[in-house]
Amino acid sequence: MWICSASGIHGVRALRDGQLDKATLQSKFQGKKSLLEKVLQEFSRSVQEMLPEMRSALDSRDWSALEHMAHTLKGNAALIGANRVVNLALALEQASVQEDAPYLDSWLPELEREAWSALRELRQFVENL
Amino acid sequence: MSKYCILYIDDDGMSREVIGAFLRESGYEVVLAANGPEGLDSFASHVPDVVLLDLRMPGMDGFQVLERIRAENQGVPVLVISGVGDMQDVIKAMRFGATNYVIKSLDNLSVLNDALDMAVRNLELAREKQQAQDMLARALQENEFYRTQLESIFDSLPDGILTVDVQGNVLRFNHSINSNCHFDAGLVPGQPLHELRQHKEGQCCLRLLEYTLRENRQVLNHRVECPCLQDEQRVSLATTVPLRDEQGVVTGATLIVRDISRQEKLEEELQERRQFRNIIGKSPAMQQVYAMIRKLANVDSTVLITGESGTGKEGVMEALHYAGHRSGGPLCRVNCSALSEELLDSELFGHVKGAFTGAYKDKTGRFETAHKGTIFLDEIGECSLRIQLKLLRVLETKSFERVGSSKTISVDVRIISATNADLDRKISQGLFREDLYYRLKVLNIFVPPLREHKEDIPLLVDHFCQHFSREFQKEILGVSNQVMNILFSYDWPGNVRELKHAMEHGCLLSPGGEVFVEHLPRELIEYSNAGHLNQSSDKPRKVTRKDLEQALAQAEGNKLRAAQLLGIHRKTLYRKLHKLGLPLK
Repeated sequence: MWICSASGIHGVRALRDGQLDKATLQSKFQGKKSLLEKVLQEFSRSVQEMLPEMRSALDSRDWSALEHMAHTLKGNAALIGANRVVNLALALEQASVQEDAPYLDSWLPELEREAWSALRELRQFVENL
Repeated sequence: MSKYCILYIDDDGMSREVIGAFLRESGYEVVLAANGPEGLDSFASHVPDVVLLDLRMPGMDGFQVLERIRAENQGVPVLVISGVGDMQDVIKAMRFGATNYVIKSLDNLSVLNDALDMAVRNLELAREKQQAQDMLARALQENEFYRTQLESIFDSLPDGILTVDVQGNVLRFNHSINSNCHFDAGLVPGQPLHELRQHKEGQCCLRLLEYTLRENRQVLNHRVECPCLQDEQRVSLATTVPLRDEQGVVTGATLIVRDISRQEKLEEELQERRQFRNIIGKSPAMQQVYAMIRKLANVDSTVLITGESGTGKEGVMEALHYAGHRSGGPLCRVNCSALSEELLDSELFGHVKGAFTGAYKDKTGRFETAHKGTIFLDEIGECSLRIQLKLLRVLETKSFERVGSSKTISVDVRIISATNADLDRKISQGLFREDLYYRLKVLNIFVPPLREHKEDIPLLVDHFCQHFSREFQKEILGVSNQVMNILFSYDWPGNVRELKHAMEHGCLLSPGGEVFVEHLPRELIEYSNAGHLNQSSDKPRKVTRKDLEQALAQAEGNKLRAAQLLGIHRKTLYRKLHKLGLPLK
């Protein structure tokens, strides 16, 4: 499946299907299972805490909080190689700066889906190690 | 690798935990801070080697933290860590003084490691560079310290030091050189020697320096009597040495001038003088003569030297001239008894062409020739009354006319005269002008006859033996005991001159070694044969080892005294010591 940005200004590039870059994860955390478990724990906490807060900030049109959380989620996703989450979070971060409510309304659900999906894949990856 | 400390400042907990753990795995010591103020506190307390800094943080953001760190520390590497798509932040951070940047991503964890490695390597290089700079600074400081010390020593030395390059241009000098050589105008670096040579100061020393530059040879402790001062005699020891570089190539020369005037003066005062220039003698009578010479050498007053024929009046005159400030000027001698009145007149005052028959051209007189120097009028008592009158005028006005000329010539001449005649008697006989006499004997030096200072005879004999040994190229060690007895008992009507002739005779006839009676002039042998002295064998006295040891013990090792005790010459004593294998020291 391919996704594109609703608006080119937010720079969401077409991304390949699939969430995690498992090959890179494998190479970076080779022999460091405990570190990877720590990564899973932190990402899980991040997703579980941040997504509801982002929804709440969007509802209350708190653009600054939304921008900050999108930025943080972008960084966390980047650390596990969840590139689709990274790109969606970047797009939402920029949309928050521009206070682009329609864009955010339509794409936040997509970010939520991809973030949960990435978390599931990461958990499965760690369990299979 | 020693453990480097990384301070990681990031508000995101997951980034701190994951990247922090990753860096620890890579061998770094990691200090974590969750916001800007906490990061600055940790920076102050931990003094990290590298700072890893997130830019987007609530409250104090990364830019403010970076600004504060740079205000305190310009050298610590600060790597900024940014998210995907935050390039504007990165550019801004680099302007704020960030060292490098890394985009936060899984892929870039190794890039982060590389960036930290590079920062640490640069840090090590910077520290090594700083250490090298510190060492260099310390070495330069030490160098400066020693240079200053050496310069102070150089300037405080009483010896004057001057260095020149191969072209003879002044390189360096200390304060003492100006006073020791009287460069009153002061030396200037770069000044050429030939420019200094235009002044009269320091000429002797500069000549030595030029010799060393020309010949590449050193001159050690050359005694220099500086004629540069009017009112004092300056004596120095000058040493000149070529300066060479590491390859031994001559790059210039150094002049070292040690003023020994005071030492010499003290020595003169403390020690009995055995000799004054060419005059030999250590007797009290001769010490009086020396004292007079020292007093009168540097004044321009007229001096009359009296004494019997052969006492050495001319030697006294030479000492007066050469020890005084006129030593650089001419010394003209005129024997007033050797010329007729007309010739003496012309000789002293000169004449103009046609002044008398035979005056084919102008002639400069001795008074003119002696300008700025000394004229010595020997046998002054033999001058005619007319010449005496002319001399009186010169003495009074320092001026005269050439024979046949009305043009008055003024001269600056010191007049020293000498006579063995009884001038008082000549005055009473009307043969010598009384007014001239008193003009001439403003200062009088009486040279005693040898019979009045016979204690100087051994010294004179020693001196003449050395002199004639050189002249006849044979080794004359001394005179026999009997000869010495004769020399002591003889009255020496011809004074030192007669003694000199007797010694010349003796040295010439002696085959070497000692001078015996048979080598003496006939009149002395006859004097001896006439029974004027105690007869004693002229065979050298047999001195035994025991005699030598006893005499040396009695004389407390003083060879001269031991020789006197044994009645033998000092050189004979040395020869016997050598022959008997006794230590010379």
